[in-house]
Amino acid sequence: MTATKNPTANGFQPWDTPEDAAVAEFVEFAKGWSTTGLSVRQAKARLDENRDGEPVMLVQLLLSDPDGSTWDSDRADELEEALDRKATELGLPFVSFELIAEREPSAKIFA
Amino acid sequence: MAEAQHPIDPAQLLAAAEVLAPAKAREGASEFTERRRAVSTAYYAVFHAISGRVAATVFPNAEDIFRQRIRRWIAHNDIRTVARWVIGLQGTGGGQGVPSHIRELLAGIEGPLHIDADTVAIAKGFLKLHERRERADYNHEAVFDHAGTQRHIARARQVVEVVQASSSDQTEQFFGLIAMQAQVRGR
Repeated sequence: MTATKNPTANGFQPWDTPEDAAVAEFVEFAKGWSTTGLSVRQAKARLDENRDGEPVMLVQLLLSDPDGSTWDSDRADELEEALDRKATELGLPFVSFELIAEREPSAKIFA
Repeated sequence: MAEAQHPIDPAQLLAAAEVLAPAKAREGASEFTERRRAVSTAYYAVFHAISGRVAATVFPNAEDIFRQRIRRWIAHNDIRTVARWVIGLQGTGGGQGVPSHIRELLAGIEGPLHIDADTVAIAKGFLKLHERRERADYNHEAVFDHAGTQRHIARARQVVEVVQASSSDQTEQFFGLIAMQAQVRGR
């Protein structure tokens, strides 16, 4: 399962609200996203809060490795713009992205 | 004329962020700890670039020391509030809930609403970096790998460039509205 509500002590809660279904749809959209030189390999999302208690959607994306130290800015902007637009369309809150390259240690999050 | 001895320079903050985020951390250093500081520092480059433009917009003929002192009064949430209006009107990024009087104000008297690309880039870049900075500074579960951290620094560099170069009417309005959010403070 890659779209989750806030994790509980024993794992993840099932999707039981329209918001959960929207998060799931968002994740499926993200997983299919690709452009020249940048592809989403895996995606996770969960609803969270910022320090002011406002809703945020935390999105972790496993991306194809960049050629250099990071991804091309235009391509990364294009990715985030597309996903921001999708989140807005689905009525989801502000998206906070964690972009993870396949070569990085944190890629194991998706194993 | 009084001059600031150690002005906070966005370019220097960006350079510091790069130093904090090498591909391999210093011997014995925590990579995540250093990258957290890098992301926070990159955010502050954007924050100070914006506060500099806000002060220059409102007090174009004031001495540097005057502008530097009033910049202390500009709070993070002052910028965030106006940035959310912009993003909410632009239609993406979770900026819903723009007050109707602000919508009418920024839409103007004539024609459909149009917010220029520079203003959107500044507003969106600020909001994204502000959120990441809070996670960097306070969230123990946040992930800060090398490529992701470099992405945040690159974004901060882009936003600083736009902030410092843009001269559109809408970016001027953006900076002016931030000034109107700010309050005179005792520091």
